[in-house]
Amino acid sequence: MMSFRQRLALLMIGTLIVVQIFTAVVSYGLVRSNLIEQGKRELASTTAVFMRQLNVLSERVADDVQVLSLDYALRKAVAENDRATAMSALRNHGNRIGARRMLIVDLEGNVSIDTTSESAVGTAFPFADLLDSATTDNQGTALAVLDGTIYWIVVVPVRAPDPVAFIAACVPVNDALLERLRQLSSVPQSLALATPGSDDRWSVITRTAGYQPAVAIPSPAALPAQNSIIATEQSGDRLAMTARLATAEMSPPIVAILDYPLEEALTPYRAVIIPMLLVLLGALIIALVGAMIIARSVSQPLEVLARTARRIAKGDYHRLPPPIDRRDEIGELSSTLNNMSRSIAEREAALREAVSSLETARNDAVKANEAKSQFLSNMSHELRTPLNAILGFSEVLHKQMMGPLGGSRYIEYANHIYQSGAHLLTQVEEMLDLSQAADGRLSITRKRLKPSGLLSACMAALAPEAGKANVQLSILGDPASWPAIAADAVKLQQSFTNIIHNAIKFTNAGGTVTISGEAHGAVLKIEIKDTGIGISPEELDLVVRPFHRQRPAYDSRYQGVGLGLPFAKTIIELHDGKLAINSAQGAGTTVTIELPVAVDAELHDAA
Amino acid sequence: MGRGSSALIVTLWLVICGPAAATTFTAEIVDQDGKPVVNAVVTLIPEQRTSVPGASTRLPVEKTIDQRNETFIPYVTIIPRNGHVLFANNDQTTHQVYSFSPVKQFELTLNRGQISTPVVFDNPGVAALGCNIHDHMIAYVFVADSPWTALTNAQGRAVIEDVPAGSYQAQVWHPKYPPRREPPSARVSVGAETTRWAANIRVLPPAPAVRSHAGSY
Repeated sequence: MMSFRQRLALLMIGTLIVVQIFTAVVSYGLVRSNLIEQGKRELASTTAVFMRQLNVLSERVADDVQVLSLDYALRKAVAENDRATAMSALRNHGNRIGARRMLIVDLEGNVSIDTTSESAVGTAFPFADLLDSATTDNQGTALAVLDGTIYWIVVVPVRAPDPVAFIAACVPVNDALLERLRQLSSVPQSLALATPGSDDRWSVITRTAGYQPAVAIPSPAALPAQNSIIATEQSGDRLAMTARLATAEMSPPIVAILDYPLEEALTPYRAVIIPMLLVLLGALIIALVGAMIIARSVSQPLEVLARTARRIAKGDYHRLPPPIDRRDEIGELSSTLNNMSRSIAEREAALREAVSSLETARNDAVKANEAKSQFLSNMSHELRTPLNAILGFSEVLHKQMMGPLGGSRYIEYANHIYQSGAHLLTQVEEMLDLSQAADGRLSITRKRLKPSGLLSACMAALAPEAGKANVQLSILGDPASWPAIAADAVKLQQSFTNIIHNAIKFTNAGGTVTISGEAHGAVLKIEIKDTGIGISPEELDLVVRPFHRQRPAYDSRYQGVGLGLPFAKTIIELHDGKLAINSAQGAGTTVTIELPVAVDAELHDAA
Repeated sequence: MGRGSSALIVTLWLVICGPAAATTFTAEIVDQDGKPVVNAVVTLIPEQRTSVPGASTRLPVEKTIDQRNETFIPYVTIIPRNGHVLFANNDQTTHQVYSFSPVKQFELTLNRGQISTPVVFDNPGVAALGCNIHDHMIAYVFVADSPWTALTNAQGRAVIEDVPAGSYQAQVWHPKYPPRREPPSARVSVGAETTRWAANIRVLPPAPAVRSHAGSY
């Protein structure tokens, strides 16, 4: 992953390169299109130059032919119709001036002598306009196609001293001649001359060495006026101009094709490209350095911010770099970050203070609880000692072990003392157990036992209470068939007693408390169901907490300290069991107790 | 071919006056621009050939063609058939006078101051004379068959005296008349009075300089 600075620098360099390439491409395109336009102009002027050069050529040839026409022997031979002499003179002079073909045309316009072809003799010379010019202007010259060859034809009269005939000197416009003309041109180009072939297509008759027929020439049909440009065609890197040349009237048309290779014309511009690339490279290096500097100036404050943020993340608010002094977004971000870190530091200090005071409070509370437990434990112990004396002696009195008491009321009172003491002892012991359970110090001693025994004892103990409250207490089924459990008999019996006692207590006269049980696999499930006042849903959770009472303490009807259910729940849970209460206000309460069934051979039978 | 096709307009009219025996025939020749044509040869050819006297009976049989300042003088010379011409070189250079014309072919080299032997022209027609050394020198010898032959003057007028009354074919020849074309002719009746004949002929411009560079383009 690139750093922000690298990416920024890369973006700037990339942009620069794209702009540079775009500029170079556009410039080159402009140069090229300019060159094409220039090439067209060059070709047009070259075409004109070409025509002028041909004229110069024609003048030279005409001069030569003029001189020839005044040759005494020739004109004598022509005037006197001495064909053999005339023929040899024509050949001789024709070779001298480069005219491969020499004709004598009589005043009637018929060919009378032809140095190359006997068959032409007697036929009409096709270019009458040249004869006219020769008559009126002393010479007629034109390009013309004669028997498939392109010639410069120069016609001059043979004067003896009046015109007696015409000499038509035909100078072939051949490759070598075109090459000479091409070399006179200022632009690189190649040259060809074409005339329509038999199939009405252009057939190139003569050409310079470099000529490539790269561009299609328009059809010979619909030719424009002589001496005008037919078309300028561009094909790839070649530009071609086709111009119709002036010819003798009856000559087939002749076009000059100038082929202009743009590649060659672009060569000087290519030479510029290397220095241009060097300049581009220099500019790139400067831009690279500049981009790095700019990127650095942008990214450095960001790196400072990142460092600051890292420190904040580590919780180090105090050794932060100073805020960046800039009047832009980065400056704002930096000061915001520093402000934020300050307020986080403040809030954290406040939080730490609160936590430490909470910890102190908790420690105090724990200590207080420990003190309370210790106190309860000590208290219970201290209470039990006198209670044992009270119980022992009240029993001695009640049972008149030391002789009969004076009145029967003493016996009754002694019994009251004993009963109250026993109740108080139970309460104290429960409180002690709960206290120890809260500290995790309560341990139970488990023996294998039959729950039926526990229940029978409970029923027996609570039967008077039920009778007093006119509540019908019953056990469904046969508890003796219930499986054995591993339990602390005293504490579990106390727990059952508490639960059943509660059920009786909160059931109005005429109600029932029903105990049922059954084994579900490894669990013994005991239900204690009453038809009492019930418990509201919001109180269900509270009734199992120590010292909670459903009714206000001044309600004399439902007295107690609120230890019964919490004790039962604590003890049952110590037996790996569960205690659940289902109730609705006014619809009675069902307490469900689940206890694990004892595993055989695990414990010794308590019975 | 277009050569000479520009209409050769010949308008003739005859003004007949004077006695029927013999009269003066006057021809007036103008060119296509209406300008008088000098050096035109006007010939009357009688329709009844039997009564024609020999040309030499009326025309001088000897003429001299001078060469001065590289020019033949005169330009046009009329001699009768079988007449002869002397060539007199009055220049400082040698001239080589020639004729390739079918009428008379010859070639003479004349040193300066030299006068040639007579050159006899025994066939009627026109001989074009040139100088092989000086191509611009040109002259014509008109060998006349008819005694009634005359040359136009600067006013384009040719006067033929004592023409017997009768019917004639009037003909015009001029060196600059377009080649290969019959010169204008007309049938004229010559009466007692002076007969005037006016002819309009096309005359080519003077021959261009031989070494002209005026090309077609």
